[in-house]
Amino acid sequence: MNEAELIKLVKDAVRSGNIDILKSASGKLKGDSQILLKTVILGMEEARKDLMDEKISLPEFLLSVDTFREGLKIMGKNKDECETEDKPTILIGLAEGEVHDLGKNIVSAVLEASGFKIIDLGHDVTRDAIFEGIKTLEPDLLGLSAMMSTCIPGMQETVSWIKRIYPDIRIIVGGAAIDADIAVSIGAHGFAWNASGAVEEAFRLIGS
Amino acid sequence: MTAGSILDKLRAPDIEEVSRGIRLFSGIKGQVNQILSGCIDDMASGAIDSLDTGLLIKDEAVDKIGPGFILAEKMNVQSKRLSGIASLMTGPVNLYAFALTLGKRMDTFINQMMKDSVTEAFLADAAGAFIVEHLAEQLEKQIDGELGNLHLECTARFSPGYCDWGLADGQAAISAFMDLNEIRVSLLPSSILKPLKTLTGIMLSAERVPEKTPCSLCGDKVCRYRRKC
Repeated sequence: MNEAELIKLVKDAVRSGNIDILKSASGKLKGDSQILLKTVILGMEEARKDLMDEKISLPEFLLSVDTFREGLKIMGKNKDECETEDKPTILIGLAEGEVHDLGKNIVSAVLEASGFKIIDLGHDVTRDAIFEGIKTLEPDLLGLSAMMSTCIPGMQETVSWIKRIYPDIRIIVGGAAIDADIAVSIGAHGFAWNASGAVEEAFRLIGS
Repeated sequence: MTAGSILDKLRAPDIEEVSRGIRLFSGIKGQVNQILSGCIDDMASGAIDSLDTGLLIKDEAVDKIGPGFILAEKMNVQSKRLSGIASLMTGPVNLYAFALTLGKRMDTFINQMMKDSVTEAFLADAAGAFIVEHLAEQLEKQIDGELGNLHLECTARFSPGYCDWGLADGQAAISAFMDLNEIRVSLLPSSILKPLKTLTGIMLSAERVPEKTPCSLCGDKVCRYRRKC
């Protein structure tokens, strides 16, 4: 198998979520690690398109995310080494009072795999913690999520307060409790139904 | 009817049932590759091994039914629709409240999976969600059956957040009515129950229950909670 075929194998392994094939193909490739990095990123992008086109289910897409992360480990890279100054930064966290963090963690993993730098504030994030995060880290986007409708009034207050102090920061919201209308009432600039949608919306807001 | 006697009768699903449940709850349609299929079975097995189920049931005679509320001792169910079907019942009305939890080990299992794999965490969470619903359905049937033995009829189960029964009000009402600490469940200020795979709800019983749910009396045909009874 020549190098071009091995590169295709790596890409397809990420796209299909096959860690074993990724390890085997990567091990045979002796070359520029930047080529390998670009290949796994490409595989991840193709998997995301497959999800958007409904060719694969979310769990199949998540297998690609796991494989992508494994690809970084194989190259001996952690996420910090892959980060460049060009990567847009997203500060992400759960609304105050909210503790269901699985969805937020999945969105974070997908955004990272799609080229964003993620700083995760965790769960039950107070507005003071958000304020500190924005002040010290100067993110491009703020992402907040809530699964419980009881957290929405607090989110609304937080977004309103943040926008007064940092009018330039773009805010994206999501979670089971949120829909497009609620996102507007909260005062957010963007909204995402799911992890894949979050990537599109993040690119849109960065562009704006 | 005691929680203990009912809990003994609840059958935890087997691996095959949980695997099917994971696929359903994850939106998986059709065949999946071997890797994902193996992952699903592993998470099903892990979820079953993590079960530490707890159940609390308390019942009380309903003191008053008014437009928009049902009062039973400390429990005030504020819902126009539920009070509507309660007012149609014949004979004394009783309220049964329950809290069903899969226990803290399930939360730990899901969090553990998150450390290494988003896929496994997602599937583990789907497994937990399926199992608690599966047990709650059995619970509903058990209560229905036991009341039937007493020649009583009952409604379907309703959980806070269902229909026009507010989530925060409903969880607060159930928490005031029963001591959730008895099964190591706590209610957070945001109305989240911990452990996370915990369900609470009520059922109403009487000699005659013409409407088991408010759905047939409601004009919202696209409501996501709509049920056929």
